[in-house]
Amino acid sequence: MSALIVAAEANIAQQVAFWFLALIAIGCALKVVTTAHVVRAALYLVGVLGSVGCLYLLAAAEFVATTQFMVYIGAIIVLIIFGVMLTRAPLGPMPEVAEEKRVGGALVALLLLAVMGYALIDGFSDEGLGPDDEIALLNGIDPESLPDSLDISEVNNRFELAEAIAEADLSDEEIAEIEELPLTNTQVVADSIFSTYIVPFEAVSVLLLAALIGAIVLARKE
Amino acid sequence: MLLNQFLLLAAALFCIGVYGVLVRKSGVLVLMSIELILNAVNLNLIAFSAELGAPLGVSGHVFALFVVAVAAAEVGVGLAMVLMLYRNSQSIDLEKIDLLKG
Repeated sequence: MSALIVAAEANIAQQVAFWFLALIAIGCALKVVTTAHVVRAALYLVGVLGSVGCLYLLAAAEFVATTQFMVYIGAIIVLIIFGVMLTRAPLGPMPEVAEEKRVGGALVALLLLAVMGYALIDGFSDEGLGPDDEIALLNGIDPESLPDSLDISEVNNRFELAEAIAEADLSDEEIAEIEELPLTNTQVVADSIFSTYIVPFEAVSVLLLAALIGAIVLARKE
Repeated sequence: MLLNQFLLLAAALFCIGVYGVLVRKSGVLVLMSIELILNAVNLNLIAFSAELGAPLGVSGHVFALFVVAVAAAEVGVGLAMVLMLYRNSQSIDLEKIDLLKG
């Protein structure tokens, strides 16, 4: 199984997966903003979030994908559905779109899409998804630091490195050394959050606490 | 895969979210469209992070995680406000909330 490949080699399986997920995401998103049922809009949003989560997996961001499924779909959507229930939203169809704003809104959205699309195509055409240099492909692991008995001449990315490690016959100290290396993106993210980004991490904790207290204070009965 | 595929998909989702925010009448639906926008931004971050590769590109993943956390906080507070609105005026139709109108 190979990781992200530079644009020169088109990988059919990746393209099929990408377009399948992209069409589901766009279709469900369009239904979120046009449907007349509120509860169905929430469920179409689940479709969007799920397909975007799978797109994260396609881009080798497994920790963010797991977080997306657990936090976004598992908590935020549930919160939204509770909000729908507590505000007695009608369970049948209701005209949920302001008729006179529809044309203006569509124009603004299309204009925005045109401008952003032009900027993106002009700026990033033909750039492949996937790092080019060896160190980045191996998640920052220096090939010199791996034990000599490991054959890494054919290893192109961290997935093949993990396979090579699993198949090789290593002594116990070599295994202990290798366990420290960041083989998965999750390890790199974890190292990063608790060293470089520790202050934003704590700040987000305080933010969540403030939001929790704020929501309780706002919504309690007098 | 091209980087542009992810970026254009994120731009499309963003614009659909913008349309939803402009056009929807109910407060809860506006919050759902805002979630679409935030997801488009996250997709962009993950795409650029994949282009750079670890260890430099992991900042994109960390940023995306913080965006998810902030989105959760925002939806919580936003729904509390919608609930208060419903309690005071018995409807969450944003067209009818025009007390500040001249």
